Amino acid sequence: MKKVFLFLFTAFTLTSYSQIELESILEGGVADARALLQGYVEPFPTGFGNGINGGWYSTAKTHKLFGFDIAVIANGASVPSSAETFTFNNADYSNIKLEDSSISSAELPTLFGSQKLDDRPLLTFTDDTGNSISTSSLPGSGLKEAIGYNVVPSAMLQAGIGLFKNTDLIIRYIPEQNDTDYQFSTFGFGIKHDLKQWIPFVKRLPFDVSALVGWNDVKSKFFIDPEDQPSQALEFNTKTFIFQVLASKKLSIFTIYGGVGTTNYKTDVNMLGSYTTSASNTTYTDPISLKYDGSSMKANLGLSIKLLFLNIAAEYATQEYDVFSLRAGFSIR
Amino acid sequence: MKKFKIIQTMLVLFVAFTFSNCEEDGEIQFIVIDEFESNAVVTGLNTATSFETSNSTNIQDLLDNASEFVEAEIEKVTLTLEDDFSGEAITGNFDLTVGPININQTLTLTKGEGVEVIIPTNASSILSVVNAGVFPYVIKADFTQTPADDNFTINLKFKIKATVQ
Repeated sequence: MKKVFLFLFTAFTLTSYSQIELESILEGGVADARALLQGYVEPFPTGFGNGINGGWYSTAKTHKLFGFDIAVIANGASVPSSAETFTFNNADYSNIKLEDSSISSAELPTLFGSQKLDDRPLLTFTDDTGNSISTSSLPGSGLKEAIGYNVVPSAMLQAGIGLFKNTDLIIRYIPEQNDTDYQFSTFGFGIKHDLKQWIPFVKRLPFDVSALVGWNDVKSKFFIDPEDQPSQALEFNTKTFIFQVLASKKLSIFTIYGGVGTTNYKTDVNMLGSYTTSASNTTYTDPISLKYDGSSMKANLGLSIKLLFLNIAAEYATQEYDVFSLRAGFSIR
Repeated sequence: MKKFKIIQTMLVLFVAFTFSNCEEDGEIQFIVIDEFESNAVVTGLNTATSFETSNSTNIQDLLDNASEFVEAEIEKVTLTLEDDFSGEAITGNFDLTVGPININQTLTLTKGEGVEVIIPTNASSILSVVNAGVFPYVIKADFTQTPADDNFTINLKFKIKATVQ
């Protein structure tokens, strides 16, 4: 059994051992390449955009003045079965067509789709000189076959501090990390404000109600061939926004919490650098630029446990892609 | 800064661990269909009405970054009498052998026009002779009359369907 080491952009690393080389896709035309990869990759940025917005809180209660918390958050966005394929329409492409001329459209696997040969219709790639080659469409990553389900993981580091009027400032921040293979940074902030204090009578009730607004920006870049082609890189940037009304109830060391609201994301996936194809000797600069965005209602329910200063929480959220989050950290005051 | 390095490493490891546990159900396979050309060069025919020549065709491109052929078959062969022939056409019995495949048909090749020979799917496998992306072939021809030219070329275009992994 062959182990697959797929880190973030399997879509492009898959091409290293597939018959569909990136340059073959480019030979089919940049517009066609974008359209094909747009559908193939889509579940990943969608899952990441939904997942990274998880775990902002583990209680609706705000800190006391200068109380604070630090947490590490791990999210897994569940990719629905409907996102395991995307529809390929011949009419949407100029130089890439289904090899079976008797049909005009077909369902192709996405990054989270099937690896089986029978599930991957043949595509014919034709270059400007009329040469063509037919090959099976790209396979999925094999994640579902390996662990039983498709999930997009994400993780975040977060800190919050209590300010005036029962308001918390939440910061998500990792300074730019540079390595030969990648660059990564994130910055985000949120405000959690106690609503109950402003509502007569309600403020006496034995549970907490607050509102949360949060924004987050994740920037990353993965270098494809850092030694020989240092300018070739895959850029992946995601901005997210969340607004929710929260409620929680503390029961001894446990806190049940939940929220309803909206979440949205915008993601850019860019292939940077110059790529020269061997067949037509054409050079493409920054050839691929994919944009994804989405928004949905979000409702989540979680349970946290606090042991002295240690705080551990787990929650499940229903939204465009459902998200399961685990959060561990320290909380004081 | 050192603390952030640790956290960053944790984040990377978390994602990498998730995906590194992917194990496929066997090797990923691809079907590839492509065409490959080879020229059978006939020389010094004089008054002879038959010839036999052998050659090989490189189908290494089908492997690309894959490591091996799982299946390989010839879907069809297109024979074209090239422009170096001084006459117009030749007619005869053509016998083409590629590994276990043998095609024997009477054909008329007109200069510049391809004649397609479809290989039955139940007898089209060349897997047994594909070695490192090269397959050999032998072509024989018995013409109904002496060709108008001693030296000419017949182009053979093989349409190959291969499953690789």
